[in-house]
Amino acid sequence: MADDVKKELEMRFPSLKLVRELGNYLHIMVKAPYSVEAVLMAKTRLGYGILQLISAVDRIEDGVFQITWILENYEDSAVLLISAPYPREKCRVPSLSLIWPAASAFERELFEMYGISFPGNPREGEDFLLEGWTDIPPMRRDFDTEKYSMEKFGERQPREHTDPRQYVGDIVGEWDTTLGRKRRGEK
Amino acid sequence: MYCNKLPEKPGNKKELWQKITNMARANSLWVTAYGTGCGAIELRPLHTSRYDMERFGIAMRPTPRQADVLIISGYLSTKTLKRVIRVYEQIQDPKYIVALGSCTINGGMYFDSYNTLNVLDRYLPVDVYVMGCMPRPEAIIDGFILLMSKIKEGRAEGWKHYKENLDYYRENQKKIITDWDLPDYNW
Amino acid sequence: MSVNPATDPKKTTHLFFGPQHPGVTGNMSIEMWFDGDEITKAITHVGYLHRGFEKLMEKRLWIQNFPLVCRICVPEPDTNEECYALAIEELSGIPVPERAKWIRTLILELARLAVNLMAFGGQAGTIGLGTGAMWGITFRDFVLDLFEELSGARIYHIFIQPGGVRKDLPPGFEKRVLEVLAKIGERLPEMDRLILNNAVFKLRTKNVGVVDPQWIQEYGLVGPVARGSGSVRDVRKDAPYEVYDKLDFNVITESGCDIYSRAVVRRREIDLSISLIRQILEGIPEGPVATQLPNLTQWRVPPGEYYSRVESARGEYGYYVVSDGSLKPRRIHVRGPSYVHAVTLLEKMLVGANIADVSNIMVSLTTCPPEIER
Repeated sequence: MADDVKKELEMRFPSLKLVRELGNYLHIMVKAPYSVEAVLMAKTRLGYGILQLISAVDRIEDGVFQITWILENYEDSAVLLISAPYPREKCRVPSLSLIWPAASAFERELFEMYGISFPGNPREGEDFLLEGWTDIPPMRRDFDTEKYSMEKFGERQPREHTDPRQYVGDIVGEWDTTLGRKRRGEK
Repeated sequence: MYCNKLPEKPGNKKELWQKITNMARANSLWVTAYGTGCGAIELRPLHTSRYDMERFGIAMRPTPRQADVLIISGYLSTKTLKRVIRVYEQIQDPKYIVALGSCTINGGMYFDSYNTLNVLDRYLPVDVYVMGCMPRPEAIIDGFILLMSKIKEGRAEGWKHYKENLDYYRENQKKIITDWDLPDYNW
Repeated sequence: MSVNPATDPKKTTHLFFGPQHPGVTGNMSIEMWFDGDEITKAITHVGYLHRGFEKLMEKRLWIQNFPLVCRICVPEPDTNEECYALAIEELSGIPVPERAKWIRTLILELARLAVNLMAFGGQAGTIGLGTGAMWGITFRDFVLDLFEELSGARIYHIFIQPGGVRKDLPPGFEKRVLEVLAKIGERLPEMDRLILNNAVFKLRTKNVGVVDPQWIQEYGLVGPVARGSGSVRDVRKDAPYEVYDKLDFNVITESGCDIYSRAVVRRREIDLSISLIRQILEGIPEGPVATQLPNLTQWRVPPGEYYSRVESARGEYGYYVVSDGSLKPRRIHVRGPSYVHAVTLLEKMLVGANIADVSNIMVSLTTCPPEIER
């Protein structure tokens, strides 16, 4: 089943890369200009009519956002994931909210959390999860959440940590905390 | 539309009268029905006959105008804090707050989150803290018994503290809520 | 400039069905415009419970994320642990012993029983039949006592770990489970008579809150919401995980698309859970309960991406886990069934409904706000 789907997609997009294939589960990666065409081809010709999720991964070391569309086929119970890398600066991805109405909620969330813009989404820019947010989009890798929390919400009193050496140091003597690793042969 | 006059400082009454009113207040605490966080799932078994809370005089009311107690069940995000302040100021005097869980004391397990508060006492005056994650229904009843004994002794003065130090609380609240559009005092 | 007739201030009233309301499931609000008693437009607002889970999960070790993952869905935390553990086992290739799979299935079915009892009783509670709600919560307490004996806590168990379960069943546990099932089973016919054979319940729930079968494909509906409109979709049958391919059951579906048929689906799922638990208890083999994991503070999961699916009492749960071979996860995206039900479907279903039915419709879709906004 997944083999036929893979063959048809490879015929149309010769540059696709296979990420994982397991029974009825297939995950492919295509180039950015072909991504929406692959999603629509999966919907109309291959029977994957349900959109479950639009997700994004911040690959900051390559300077791209990897956007993934997760589609499902209810009759044959198969899952297809299509990923595509988009540039990180001024990211613009075509919106699918005219085809699947639920996509506009996923796209609103990605706009708020990553700053990815989906032109064509009728409710773009509305507050979804955060209210009155003025910093950079919080899910990016260069946003430090602990520092932000300490600055905004102030200091908190953490638990007190005591060193066991002050209680049992004279019974046990000195001990080496890396002894276990040395015995197992690790560095 | 709102009354913008600042609150008047409360006065002192005669001691015997104070004792009678304290006993009357303690034996019939009515709770606003607001499930702010995780802990609200353990408020429902309190209605049932296994952990009966009506024998202590505690009942749930849908509107804050008819209630005495506000239960903050767990963490608070900044979006919820704005609504909680509004609800708290609509409760008539004297009013009490019971805080459940360790997220209200020093942030709990979400201490480094960009959206949850760390120390609740800076924004609203808390009278009783109940331990647990989440606290069992018996523990919540134990917390209410502690609150009742505090009221009878005359030590549950959170609402007076709020009125006298309104500037301190307001300054803390405005620091974290960036889009402030509530009136200065809403009662 | 023409005014949108749905929000014309001369004809419609603008009101918030706000977060502080006894009829809202959890902490979310609906902004409504209505003309008399009929709603013309509705917008849902979520985000009151946003804790930034996905950012927090990237800063903790793989094993430290289990207490965080439980708290995504408060009434039913075991499905989240299971989905996360399935994704980790697939990425790192850890085998699960046979006895552990049976114990995991037992836990999942007990959790599903607890949620369905509360939801079935809660549906009666929104109409004003408080007795049904109280009974549902009381019966759920019996199941929570079993969980407390098994894992130490009533609500958050943290019992499932990658490679198996945390420890073995205590001695005599099977006998106590069967006693609880018998106790619940002899009181369920009374609940039926009170709720399903009730004339007022039928008047208020038949032909109200109709979910068109065409919306299933268009919006991607899952769970009892889709099965109450005729779909035969259940992840336990389509893509079996754990030991569901060895158990004998049929997918439950009804064909009247209203609130009544969804309540009947949930009631029949209670029966199905009870029968599945009895089958599991007869078939548990002996053996170890967990594979030995390496040093957990130095454990790295091999790089890769996977999307794992589990069927919860509300529908299909999905976890998209990305790993890049380091000590901490790279990206975890949680997709709860309420994401589509509460944000997009509810806005569509409320147009044309009465104000008194808003709470009924919300509870029949069993929207759970923490799963939307994590």
